[in-house]
Amino acid sequence: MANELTGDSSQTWWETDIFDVCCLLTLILLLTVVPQVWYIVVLIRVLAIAGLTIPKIRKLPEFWIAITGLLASAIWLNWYWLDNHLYLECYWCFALLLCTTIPARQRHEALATNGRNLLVLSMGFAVLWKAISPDYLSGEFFEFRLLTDARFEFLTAILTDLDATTLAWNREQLLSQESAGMVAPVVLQGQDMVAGLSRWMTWWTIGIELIIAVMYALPRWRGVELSREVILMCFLCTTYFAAPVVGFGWLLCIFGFAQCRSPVRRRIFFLTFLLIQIYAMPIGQVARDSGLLN
Amino acid sequence: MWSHSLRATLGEYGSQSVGFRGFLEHCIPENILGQQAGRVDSSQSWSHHGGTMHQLLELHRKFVPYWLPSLVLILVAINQLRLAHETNLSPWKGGGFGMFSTIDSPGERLLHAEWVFADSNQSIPLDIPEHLSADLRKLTHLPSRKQLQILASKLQASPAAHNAQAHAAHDTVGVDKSRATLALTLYRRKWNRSAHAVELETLFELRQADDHGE
Repeated sequence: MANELTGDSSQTWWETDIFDVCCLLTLILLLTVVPQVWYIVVLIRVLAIAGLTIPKIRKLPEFWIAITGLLASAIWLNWYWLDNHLYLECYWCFALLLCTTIPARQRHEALATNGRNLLVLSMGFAVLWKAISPDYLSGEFFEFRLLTDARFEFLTAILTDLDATTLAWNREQLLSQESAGMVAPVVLQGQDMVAGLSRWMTWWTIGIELIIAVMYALPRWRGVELSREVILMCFLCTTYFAAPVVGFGWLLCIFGFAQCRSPVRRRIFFLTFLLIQIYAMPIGQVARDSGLLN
Repeated sequence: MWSHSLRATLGEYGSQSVGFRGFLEHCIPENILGQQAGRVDSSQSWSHHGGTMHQLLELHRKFVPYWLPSLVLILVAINQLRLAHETNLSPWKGGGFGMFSTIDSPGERLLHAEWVFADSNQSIPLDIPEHLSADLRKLTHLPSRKQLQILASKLQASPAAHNAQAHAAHDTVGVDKSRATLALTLYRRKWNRSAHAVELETLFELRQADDHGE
């Protein structure tokens, strides 16, 4: 579809109507990442499918009122156990709702501002929590995770000398603590081998999150825009390989996409959106089954 | 579509309810409201109140769509910081973005439940029945003494728990079933790096005598 606003026929619809593309990406997100409460899952899916197939309705405030209302009600009733990216998803849908209430020419700007704000704030609070946590900066958090968390198994196995058998043994040790009466400390193996990696991951994670928060908080000075978008893409490509939380990754990708002014970088954000889904493959399990991991 | 009835309502309200009308004018996009149902252009309707209301409306329009979601995020995140420090809410949850910042995630909080028989000083582990999983979830995410007591009461009323108790009493010679105590302890895991060991730290514990004993 040619660009109706500028009359520039060389640009395609998805390069010019950023608001609509953001709506589409959000609806794709909503198909898979919603609070796991059955009535919310069903209703949101119905709305998301309707929005994806009928372009007119995804620009109506009533449509986004319904989606935001459902997400907000799920959070209201289950606030203490829902993941943070579901809160962020709700704020983003609220932003889309508010954007549908202003003239079309202002929507992209408002959405870009919201994307930037939510990115800065989510990263900012994540950094704050890491800074005040009693066991993050000491490296204990990543040490424990690398030794016991199945999600990090592939990373640990390829970047350290620790083998999959030891990691499985560590997890079995933890399981033994789940029985009543088993309160004795359990010794884990391989701490020395993951010490370096855990230290590096600790500072890399908090460092890159801090840089993203600061860079996106800065005005669009020359050079800042390109640098921060490259850093965000770098964060998305590395962090979600290690910890494939698809919902969070996709949201950050949409935020980056919404405020990006370069068509080339927007395409890269879209490719990153696809890449994060690829990361959701059980890489560790596939590698173990095929004998790549010991 | 409800926006038509809203439009009509807006026309009926006229200038009597300035605040409400202003709010609705903001909430309903111009392309929906249009120039129908006797609606007067907002800049004209405000003109007789002076420039102040018009400026407020403009400020409202410029602020809300751009900043309101961020404001909500800030309020929720600050409240989560408070709750995580004042109560035992897991930093991973509650909308404060504390995930991957501490070992103390809900998955690293463990509930040990057991029947303790005073006579023999024996204890029998007790599984939490499936129908109490929501209570268990609340306990590991937002633990409190009150929540532990609620779970203990429900557990005592549960037939599965009583079957376990009865089996244990039957299998053990000299056990007086009436003197069984339900012991619940909620732990969280701590990583002791110098000992290379994962330790359990007690968060809450409760011992409740069995009211249903014979």
